[in-house]
Amino acid sequence: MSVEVKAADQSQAAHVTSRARKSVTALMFISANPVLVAGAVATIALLLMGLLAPIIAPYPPETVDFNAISLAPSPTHIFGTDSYGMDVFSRIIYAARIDMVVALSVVAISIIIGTPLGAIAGFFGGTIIDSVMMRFVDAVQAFPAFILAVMTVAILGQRVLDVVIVIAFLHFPSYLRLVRAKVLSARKSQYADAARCIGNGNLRLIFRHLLPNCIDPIFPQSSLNAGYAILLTAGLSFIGVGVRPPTPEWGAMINLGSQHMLTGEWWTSFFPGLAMIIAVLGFNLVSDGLQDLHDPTRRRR
Amino acid sequence: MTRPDAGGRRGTSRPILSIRDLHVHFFTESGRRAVVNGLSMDLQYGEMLGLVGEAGSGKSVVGLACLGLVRPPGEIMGGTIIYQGRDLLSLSSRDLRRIRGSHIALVPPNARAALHPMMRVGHQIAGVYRTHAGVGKAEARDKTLYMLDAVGIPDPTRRFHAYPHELSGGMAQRVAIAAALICSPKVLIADEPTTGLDVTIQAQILALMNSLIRETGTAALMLTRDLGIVAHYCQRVGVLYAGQLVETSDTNAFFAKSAHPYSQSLLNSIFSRRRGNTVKMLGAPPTFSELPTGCVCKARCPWATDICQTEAPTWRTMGPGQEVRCHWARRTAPVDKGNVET
Amino acid sequence: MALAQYAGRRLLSIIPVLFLITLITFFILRILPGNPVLLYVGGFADPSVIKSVTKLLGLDQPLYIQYLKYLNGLIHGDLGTSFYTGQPVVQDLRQRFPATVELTVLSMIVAVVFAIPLGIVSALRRNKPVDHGVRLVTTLGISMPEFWLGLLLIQVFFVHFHLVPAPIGRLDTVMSPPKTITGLYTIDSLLTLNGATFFSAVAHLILPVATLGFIFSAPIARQTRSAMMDALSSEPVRIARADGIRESTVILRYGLRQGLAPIVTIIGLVFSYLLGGDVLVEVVFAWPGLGQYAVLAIQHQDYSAVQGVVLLVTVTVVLVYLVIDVLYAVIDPRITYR
Repeated sequence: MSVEVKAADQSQAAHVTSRARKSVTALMFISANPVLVAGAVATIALLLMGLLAPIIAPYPPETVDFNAISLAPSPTHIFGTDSYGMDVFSRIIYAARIDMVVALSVVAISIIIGTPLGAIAGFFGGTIIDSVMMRFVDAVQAFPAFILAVMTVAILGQRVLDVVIVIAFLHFPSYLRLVRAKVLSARKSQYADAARCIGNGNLRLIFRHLLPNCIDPIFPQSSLNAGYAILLTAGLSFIGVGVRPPTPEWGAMINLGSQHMLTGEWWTSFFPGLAMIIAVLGFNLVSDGLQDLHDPTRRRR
Repeated sequence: MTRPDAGGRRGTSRPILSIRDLHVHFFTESGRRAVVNGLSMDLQYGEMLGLVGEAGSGKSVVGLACLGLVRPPGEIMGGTIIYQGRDLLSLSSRDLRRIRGSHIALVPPNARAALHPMMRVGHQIAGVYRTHAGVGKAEARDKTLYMLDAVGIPDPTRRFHAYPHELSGGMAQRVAIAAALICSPKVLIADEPTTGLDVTIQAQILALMNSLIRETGTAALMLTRDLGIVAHYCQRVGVLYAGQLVETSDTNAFFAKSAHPYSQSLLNSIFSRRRGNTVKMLGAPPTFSELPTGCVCKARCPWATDICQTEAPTWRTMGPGQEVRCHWARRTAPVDKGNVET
Repeated sequence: MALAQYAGRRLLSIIPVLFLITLITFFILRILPGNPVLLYVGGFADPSVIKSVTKLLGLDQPLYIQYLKYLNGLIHGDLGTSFYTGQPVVQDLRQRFPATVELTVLSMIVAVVFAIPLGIVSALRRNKPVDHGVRLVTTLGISMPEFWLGLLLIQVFFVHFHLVPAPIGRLDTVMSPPKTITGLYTIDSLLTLNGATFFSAVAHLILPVATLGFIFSAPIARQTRSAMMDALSSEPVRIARADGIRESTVILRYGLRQGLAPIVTIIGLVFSYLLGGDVLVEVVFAWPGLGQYAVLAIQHQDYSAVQGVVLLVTVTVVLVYLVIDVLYAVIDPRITYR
């Protein structure tokens, strides 16, 4: 009996100890990587906010209420209302959906396009294939991104999908260049030679052996690009060529607020901007944090 | 090749550089590493002391410590380095800067990577001279040309304007030597100055350094893994293992009758013939987070016994100028110096 | 001389890029869905009207002929006529280019003057409070939408405190611009000794330059910090310190010099972005520059104008990159060495 009790105690103790150990490890990770954790928390919080919008938003986002026009922030409307009587706070929460969706889809699509192209360019570096590709990328990157985006969205349409396509097109060169640079040096490495020696053809060599080792720089860059995507989307909406009103979008809300700024109505523009800053900041901090992880001079006692 | 018998007369004359109980620790992601553990050593006026050790034994760090250049993640945990009556480790950065390059100078390994890639070599050398001597451009240039000639660089006037990547490894190393010696320092720290060079160039560089140092009576600390260099140029030897000195000796005595098992294993690895001595130490030197109890060599030493595990050995004098730190130090069969390979 | 040869080679290599740009610019509008003719005449026009307008605009010709005509026009400095202003596009651009240049160049100067020293100090005092402060502010800077900041500054400094003039362009409404010498109001008014105009021009520049200057000092400061950290841990810097070189010399001549390349890169990138990307600031401050022109043109579906702006900005960007490439060779003598 006592033996069984002891055994049960021991396993419970072990269970508690392993849980304690896990939380200590988690704490150590947080204190060692505060930037990464802060960014991740902000980003995830906003994502959740967007997902749970219907539940947490106090007011429906697109309902006009002419009795509540341009109210300053108050307990009933935490961030006030805009000139159509729509609650700013609720719209901000719903706007998170659009901007986050755009950001994540842009990143996904541009990585899928840019990475393999970059691998091919890097592998055939110095040859005609590489030269032609890089000239083309140079030309594309020289274009004034914003003007191009405005033009394309204005023509293609103002659905979320169109915005995503345009921004993804603008972003894929960055991944292409990053991967190309890594593959360029990796193709001369010893493990590449080894893989060749055992009979791997070029295609397999590029995609199965070289590429997995060259995708490191993609992660910080993708987080950075997610932030840029949000800024670009908001910018497009600000001048009226992005998402169509009354769909809540941070840039569009700032635009609406700017029209009434001179009468002192500051909250309509201010809070959406704050929300946007937090979102983009989150992504940027994650990017910084990821880069710090690879920093060899980090010191730990 | 003859060496003047300076002999390691410890305590008979005041050394120019005196290290006492130096401790340097490095704090990294993988924890704390005790890189230098209680090192004590003297460098006499005009002598060349070879500090021998494998990679990771802490040689370079000792050199950096003498220049006050130990930076995070490294940290000096204790000890003194006395130069001209002052403890270098307690000096202000301003005073240290005045000493560096002018009193104590460094010849780095792989000079081609150590020189400023975007500055002409002449300007780099002259810059060192101007900083310390406070002279004008013209005078610095003249002195630089003189030094370039002294280190054996042909056509110095043209080479003055060269960039480091336009020079060969050997030439770049000569430039580094010129920069180190231009202010006539009293102490020269040569950190593996022949790494990456062809064997013939190595010999030239070493001979050059040796003659220049002889001329000026500069004391030199030669940090190296190459016992051949020690044999040909150094008056005294210090053997470094895991951040500690395990043997200091007259070079003659070292090669004739080295007493420490680690020293013997080093010698065994390069000599073609050695009678009756088969001491070998396999593996790599250990890294500690703190000084262990007992002898630092206990893991690898074939002579290790119980006492080696628990008690750190003290210094024992084996002969004039030869001191060893081992419980079991003993004389070995003599070695014919003609077999030394460099 | 090696440098001149290098510059020559780079110059030659951008010619295909320039061609590619004219090609892309031309085709972008042609391949996107939608019939530009309909935009001119409206969706309900008579088929015969559509046909004649198509012929008039030369849009019935095969594409390659249209492209060659376009190129021909380019060589003769003809970028078409703006549908909206009625003027030749070239004239419109000539009027608006200086406004953007004035704003962009001043903002760049402000950004660089603040960013580089901050980046250096941050790298030197690594992980100390200064460094954390700079990192925080610059990370905030790259996360901030410039149009929001502009609006905020207007709100605070104009609406609330009345410290700056209304954001409605480059000068007070009652003033007329100085005689056009460079097109830059600040310089022109100085050259014509027109004090009142000068101060008005400067006053109107304060907020937009502050906005762009702050936002774009952030990436430059970050890159400077990163480049300096790398440079300061390099072997040459270590050896320079070992030689007893003065710390200020070590930081500038051994550190900054080695880290200059990525800093120059980011400055070039920012400048190129600004040329086309200050659109939003121009809209917020009603600044009559290229960006505002582009937005208006797009909103009015004036595609010749859009094409003209895009071409001008893109070619300028390519030239900026060319200058940067040559600058690299000047900074680092290893580049021209074969």
